[in-house]
Amino acid sequence: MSARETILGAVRGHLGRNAGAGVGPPPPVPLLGRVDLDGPAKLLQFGERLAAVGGTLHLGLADGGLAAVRELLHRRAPAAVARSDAPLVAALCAHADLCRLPWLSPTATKQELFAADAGVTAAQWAIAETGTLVLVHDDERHRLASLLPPVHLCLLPAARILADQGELLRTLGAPLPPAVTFVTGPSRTADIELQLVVGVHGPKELHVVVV
Amino acid sequence: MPRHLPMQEFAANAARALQDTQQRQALRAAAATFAARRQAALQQAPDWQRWREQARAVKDHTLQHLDHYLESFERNATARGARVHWAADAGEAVRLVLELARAHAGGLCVKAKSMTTEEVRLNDTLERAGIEAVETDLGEWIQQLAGETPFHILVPAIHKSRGQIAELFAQKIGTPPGADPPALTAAARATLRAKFARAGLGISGANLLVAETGSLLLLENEGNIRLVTSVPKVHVALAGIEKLVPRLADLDVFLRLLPRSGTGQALSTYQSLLTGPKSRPGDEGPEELHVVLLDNGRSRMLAHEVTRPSLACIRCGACLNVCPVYQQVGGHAYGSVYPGPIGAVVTPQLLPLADAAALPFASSLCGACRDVCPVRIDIPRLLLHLRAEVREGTPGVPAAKPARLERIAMRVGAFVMARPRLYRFATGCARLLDRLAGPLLHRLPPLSRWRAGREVPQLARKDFRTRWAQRRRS
Repeated sequence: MSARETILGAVRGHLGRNAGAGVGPPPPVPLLGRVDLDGPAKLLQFGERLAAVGGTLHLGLADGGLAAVRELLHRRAPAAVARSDAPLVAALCAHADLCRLPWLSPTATKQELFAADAGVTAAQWAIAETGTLVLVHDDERHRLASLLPPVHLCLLPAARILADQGELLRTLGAPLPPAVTFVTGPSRTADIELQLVVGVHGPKELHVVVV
Repeated sequence: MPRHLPMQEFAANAARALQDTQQRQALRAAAATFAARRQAALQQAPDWQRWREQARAVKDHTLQHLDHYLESFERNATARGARVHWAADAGEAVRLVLELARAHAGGLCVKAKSMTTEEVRLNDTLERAGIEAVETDLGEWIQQLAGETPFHILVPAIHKSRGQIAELFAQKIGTPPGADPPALTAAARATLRAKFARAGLGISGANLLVAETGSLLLLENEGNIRLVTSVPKVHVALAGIEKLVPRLADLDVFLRLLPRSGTGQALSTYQSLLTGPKSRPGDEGPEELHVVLLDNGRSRMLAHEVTRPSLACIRCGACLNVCPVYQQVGGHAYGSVYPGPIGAVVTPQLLPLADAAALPFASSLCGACRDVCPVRIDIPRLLLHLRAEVREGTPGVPAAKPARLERIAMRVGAFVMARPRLYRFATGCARLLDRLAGPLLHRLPPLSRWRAGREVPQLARKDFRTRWAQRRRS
């Protein structure tokens, strides 16, 4: 007998169920968070929660984030900047003020990404209740650009901020892409004497530029 | 290869742990920090009790129909290109992962922290096969460097001081002596990045499996799980069969409960929701995703309505942090991968009961664990159930014979308590003896042994029945 049959047989035996026995509906899914916030209130809450977890919010509503990204990158004088293939990011990189930065290709190799000093991506969604960015990796190539460099700059369209994670799960729907990452603040650990240290395996700094 | 302490020797392990002043200081500090953080998180969550009930209802429903949801997960994950494997016991699980490691690892695996891989002792097997398996969670890596098993399910090196960790790193990876936590963390980042860049296989556990989508959900703060699951060419996740939830929407409540209970965060820094390997050749992410569904004693727990809720556990660690026993003796004394109250519940059920017979007794039954449990597992009730099984035996397990003195005392007690007059006479004698010779009797066996870890209260001068009668007269 295969392990599969052994396990399913044991489960059914212990539950007193027959193969293919029916299943009633699971408990209904209640609404658990707040869904009554308007746009500005969601942006405000997102900013507060992001700051509480050590991220920084920049407003780039007027210029597509140009001034904020220029300021953040130029002062670091990076040797290599990773970027995703999002149209928002591409438009920014092509701007005269930024095009001379040492951009990597959106299809850069892992080795190049490991050595990058910063990564610029967009986010597909955000969650106001927790200050979370949601990266849907089917829509944008940002799985590693948002993770490997020590600084992550993320462009977030204001209209993509949802109230809570329940709303996000309803929005994602089926079929799910192979990978969705939720990001709430910079990488952190408290494994040594429960003392908080940021930037362990992921970015040490997270900057969200609302556009 | 790190070894656990013998779990049958809980009392001796605990006695030794109590002598470790540094460890007790670390535990005391941790308990205070955890309590404050959880308290603060719950103050922001007025619907906490409603969330707990919802989560438990979902877990109960899933466990009652587990065969259905396992098959549904398998079907949906397979449809998305994941390979689903089944492992009835630890041996099958490590064989499956070892095969994948031989085929893909190129001699090096990177691991996300996973209690389930600890349970099956995966690292030992890989090491014997000459394949390096590097833990990448900072705390877990510290334990691996020290040659120790995890001390806590969430914070594996919680018992170590920064000085001890600095010394360990200086010795193993050549950091300057006396480095502070940020410097130690930076050194870990640099050392482990080289491993991530080279490893051919990423090994993780899973916090939850979603049946309707065939997805895995992994929670973390450091980013090492994101690396483990996206950099190597092949990813394998080992998950207990109890990790299922029916629907994507069910994640909402568990994402609310788990981080708040574990670390007091509203949400942990990263969640990875993974559904199959990459779908287009040019995409990032692993080319193959394997999921190993592990039974290893879990299906047995479904049989009894008292033991079934053991499988509702989401491994948040809250019960460890509030347990007065864990706070004193720490994780290693239990001699199990799963320490603390929930460890005392699941270990004797995962293993042959006789091997872990001491653990259900490693509790004062105060109920703090039940009060904090985010899925409302009645841990004291489970411990009593397991104690009864140890004492009375279960099919295939003979009853543990109590000491002769204990047996006689229980029989005498039962005889006396069933006879009100005799009971009254006996308690009267006890009161008299206590007053005349109490301190002396406490120093003689058998009371002296019982008293070694406890205060013996002085008996009241008048018993309840006398006082009650007097009250009614006046």
